[in-house]
Amino acid sequence: MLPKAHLVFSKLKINLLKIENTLACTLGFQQHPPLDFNIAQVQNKSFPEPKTLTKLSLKELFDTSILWAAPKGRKTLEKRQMNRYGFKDQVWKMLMPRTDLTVCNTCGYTHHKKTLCGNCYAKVKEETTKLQDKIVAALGLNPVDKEVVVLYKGEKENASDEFYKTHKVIEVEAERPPWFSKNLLQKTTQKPSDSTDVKPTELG
Amino acid sequence: MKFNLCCKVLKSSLNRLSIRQLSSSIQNQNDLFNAELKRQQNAVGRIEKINVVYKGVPEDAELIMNKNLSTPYNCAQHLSEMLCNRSVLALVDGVKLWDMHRPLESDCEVQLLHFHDTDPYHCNRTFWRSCSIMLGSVLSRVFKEDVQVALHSFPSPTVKSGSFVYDVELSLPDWNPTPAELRVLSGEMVKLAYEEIPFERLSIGQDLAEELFQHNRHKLEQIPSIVQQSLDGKVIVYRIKDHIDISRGPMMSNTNHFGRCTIVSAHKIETDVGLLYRFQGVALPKAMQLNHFAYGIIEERAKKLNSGRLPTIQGEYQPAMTSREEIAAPV
Amino acid sequence: MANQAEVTKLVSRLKIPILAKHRRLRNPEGPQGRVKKIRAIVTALFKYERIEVYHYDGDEARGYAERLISDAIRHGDTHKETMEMADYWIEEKNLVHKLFKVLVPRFQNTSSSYTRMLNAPIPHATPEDSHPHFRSVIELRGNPFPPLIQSAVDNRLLIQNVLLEEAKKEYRAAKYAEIAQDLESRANEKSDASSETREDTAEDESQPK
Repeated sequence: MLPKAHLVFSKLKINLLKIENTLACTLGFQQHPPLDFNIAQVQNKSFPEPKTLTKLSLKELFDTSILWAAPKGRKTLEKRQMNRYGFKDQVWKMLMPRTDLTVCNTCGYTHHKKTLCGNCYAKVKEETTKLQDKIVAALGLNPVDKEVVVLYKGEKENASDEFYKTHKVIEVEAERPPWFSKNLLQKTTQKPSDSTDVKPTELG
Repeated sequence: MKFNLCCKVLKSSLNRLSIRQLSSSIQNQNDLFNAELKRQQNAVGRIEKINVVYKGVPEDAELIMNKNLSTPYNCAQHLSEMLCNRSVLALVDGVKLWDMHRPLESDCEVQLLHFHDTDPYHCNRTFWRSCSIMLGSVLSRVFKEDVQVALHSFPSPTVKSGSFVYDVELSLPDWNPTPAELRVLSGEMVKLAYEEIPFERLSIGQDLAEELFQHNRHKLEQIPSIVQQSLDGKVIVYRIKDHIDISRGPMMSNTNHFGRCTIVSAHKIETDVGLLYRFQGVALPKAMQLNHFAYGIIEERAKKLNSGRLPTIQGEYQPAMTSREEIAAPV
Repeated sequence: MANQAEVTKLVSRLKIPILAKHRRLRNPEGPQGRVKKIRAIVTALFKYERIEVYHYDGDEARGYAERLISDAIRHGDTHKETMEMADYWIEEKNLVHKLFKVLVPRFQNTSSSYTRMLNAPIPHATPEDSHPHFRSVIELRGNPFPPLIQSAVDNRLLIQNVLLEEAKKEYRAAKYAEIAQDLESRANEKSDASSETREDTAEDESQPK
């Protein structure tokens, strides 16, 4: 109990002294203490000696430093708003909801309205490059004089000898991808059927 | 010619813009429907979880849903906005066609069907059926008060027949609709589509069904045979806004799938139940676009009398869809 | 006027839009570099049948490829100027054979353009109003590769196609019935006429008796 009372008493004393000091300064009875008065003195040679401030002259200022341009006038509200938000129809800086996205009906991914669907295209591109490499390797530098047809695994059985004569057949070991529908192709190895009421069964 | 002069028997469109007073019978019907809906929801009791496997685009998913509460539409809400908007119908476990707003009953696998599917047969049929029920809804309220309207039924939907149909008894002995009157009907159909109303499905018992349709003698006559033919002795009713009708279903999820529509003709047909009017129309989903010339051809064909089953006397009533057809044929 | 040559017949009319002024396709090698780039793209298009290039380059080269095919179809491989053009624009000479022996028969009876150009996907973060260097996919029609886009209306099971198909069937049935009736009535007339003539002949025969 005793040390706590002591602490409170000492704080009160310090505060009273401070008030007395401030009053004396403001009323002009006493000078302010010098600035370096507050620095604890350390016995260290490396400590820089306080600089003696010389009076600034305009000429010296121009010689020794770089002067930056500073705004001279007030910017109008329009200008400030334009800088902050941009112009609505040209450069609009705010975040806006996109209006040019659409959803691919086949795969359900979003893409830009005027472009192909990225997800579907990646799939098609991979298969296309694979086929292109095969075709180019098979044709080599020989003159190309036949239509090229790609047959996947299990499809060459249907092709007739005559078909082989009129077409350059590239055989692929893999199965036909399910999304690469045979029916959508123009060229086919199968003979057109005679029946008239055929239902498309292998679409898509 | 002035619009009002063209439409002698139909209510003027302007009058109906004012707040529509529901007639007491319709209000009564809706109260009954709401009470039954609430009762069924309360009867679920403790909520159990079911495991729903979604198969389809953008990717397969597994969802934990509420038994007897969550619908395929709720599943779509978890997956993608696109699925919510375009899905017409759900295919549960690969065999059962399921309304988008009908609660799922057990662990299942769900596929969502839409009009651009590889084989949209079931979507098309559902669309045609939904069009019929929407036509019924329009017919029941579009006539003036002095014309008595009693909806009868509509035959099983066949898209190939070229038109969707609703058979109605009117208290007009000899009425030939003018083109303007037909146009009003078409406009009402499109208005209903703009309102974006979900189809609500409810399975009810015979007593309640008879109470619901006490003002319609045709429906009252049909109910016993429907109950007899159904597997669980229930009657399935659908509600669009305030109109309630009997149909085996399934229906599409929302009226906003409905795009353009023309009601082309109303033929007088003599049947066992008396003189009926067979209203015929043709419509396309919003997702489908067709140029006006091709649409004109379809319209022209729809004017011929639809060869669908004629209404028969009670007891021989055939529901709009037999339970066998509700099970989708394996693709 | 009569002596004036018809300009439309001197140059093949292409089925794709062509700009009024050619693109410069800025290049460190100048105009020579532009031509070099176009030759490379035309050659690659004939070789691979489907390529992805920058939009502006591709659009410029597409016109040259279309013109080559069109000229080849019009004049055939015995026409000196056409052969020179093909020789100039196609860098790999085995593809000159392809132009005349494969592409000409393929496109001889088509009414649409010979090539197709579609916008390649752009990154999702591209701002809506920015103009990035778009890439395009150019392909020769009738290529053996998987289709880039599935047509939204080709499916005959779509509701409008089902309706149209049925309308067509009904129209045909009505027409056939009409024709059949027409034939029947004509046959009846003919039989009537023949019976008349037979009667006439019979009369003629009877007369000399």
